[in-house]
Amino acid sequence: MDVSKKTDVSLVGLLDLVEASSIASIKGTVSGILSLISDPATSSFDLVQLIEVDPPLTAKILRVANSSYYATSKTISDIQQALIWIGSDTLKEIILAQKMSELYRGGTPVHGYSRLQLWRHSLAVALLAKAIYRREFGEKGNNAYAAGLMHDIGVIVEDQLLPQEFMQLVQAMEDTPQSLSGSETSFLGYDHCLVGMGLAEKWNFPDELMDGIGFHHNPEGAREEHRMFVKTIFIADYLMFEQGYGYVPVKLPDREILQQYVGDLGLQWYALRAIVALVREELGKIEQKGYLAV
Amino acid sequence: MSNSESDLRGRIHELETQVRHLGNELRLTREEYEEAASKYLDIYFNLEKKISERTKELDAVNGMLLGEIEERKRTEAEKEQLIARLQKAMQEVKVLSGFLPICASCKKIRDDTGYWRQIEEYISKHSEALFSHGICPDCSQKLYPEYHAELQRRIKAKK
Ligand SMILES: [Fe+2]
Ligand SMILES: [Fe+2]
Repeated sequence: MDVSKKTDVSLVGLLDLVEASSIASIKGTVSGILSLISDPATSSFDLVQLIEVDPPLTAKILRVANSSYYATSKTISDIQQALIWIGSDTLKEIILAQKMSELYRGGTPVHGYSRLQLWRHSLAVALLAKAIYRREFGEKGNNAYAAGLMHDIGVIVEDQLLPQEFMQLVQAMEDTPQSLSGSETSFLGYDHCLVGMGLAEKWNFPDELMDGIGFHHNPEGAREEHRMFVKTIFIADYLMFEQGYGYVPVKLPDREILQQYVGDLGLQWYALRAIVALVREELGKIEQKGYLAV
Repeated sequence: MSNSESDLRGRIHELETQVRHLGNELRLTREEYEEAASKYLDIYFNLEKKISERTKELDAVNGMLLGEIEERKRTEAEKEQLIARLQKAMQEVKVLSGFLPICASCKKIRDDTGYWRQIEEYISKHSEALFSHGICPDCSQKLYPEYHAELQRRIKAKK
């Protein structure tokens, strides 16, 4: 196998391709909702305005809001009602998840990779990162949810815009266990972290989120003030891969690194185990209700 | 440390963790509940304020409408009165202008029903003029010759 064969598409070229592709259609809503998530002082008016211009999205959100997963006693027939009955934080998460899920439609599962698995992984990391913030740090963790959901956005960009190269690099991982970043770098010259961070910069994502996407496999590279946040994403990503919520046959980094970050955050293993169990239960419910479908 | 002792210690750690986690969840949920409640109250009070504002606006407009109707009625009535007065005045003007058929001998005037009336009766009916009766010197000499001479003498003496 020719491992040295690199693509002609540079990172800058790939980011230009994104702007011209259907991926760009989520830009407005996603950038908008991300800035609403990171700014707690937003008015409900902004939120309603953001989604009312997107009727298919509104319909999906209402379907989710009325699903038995959120089990409200009342039928929710518009966004204003959803805001009252399920709350603006949850509503923002649903909006982000529903809009992001548009990127994971279609595609055929190959070489141990599938878009649905990648989506499932993203959701799992989002839920775990948020749960760690809530249960351990006693904070809402809305940004952790967003970062979890977006952290591997570079992967879906490669899958959609460089399908041949992407299939080759996934195939290579199946043949020789290695990290995804390693395989990407040998085939493309860059990895999904760089692609994601480039996109985050171009689309004006909040700084914390940009670091969360760009350094989730290398938290030490993140800005000092975001390092704890990025380490949480790293831990959530690692643990969900271990728990079977991965999407490629990946070779995980040494467990020592994980141990170190867990220690850095002052987390205890039995506390983490309890949270992981909780998230698995939640994911089970979500899958059972079909909420995961893209 | 015996096995059962370390088991017990582990179990205690686990329970302590659970308590801490649930404590955090409870606090966050309480905060979220308060946030939602305040948001709900905001919406509620906003709507209530809107309702009372709209009610006031409606009342004000209603009041204006009633006033307008009153005003309209009043001017209608005034207009009618004015018209009536004008019509009456015009009738009077009509009666006292133009040709009055008058008897060349007794000076009676024929009215619109063809009846001959004393001139003072006719004029007082069709105008604002009032009559006060006296007698002129020519008529007094003609009607009362014996008193007339005496009257003239007295008037001269007084002067
Ligand atoms: Fe990743
Ligand atoms: Fe990941």
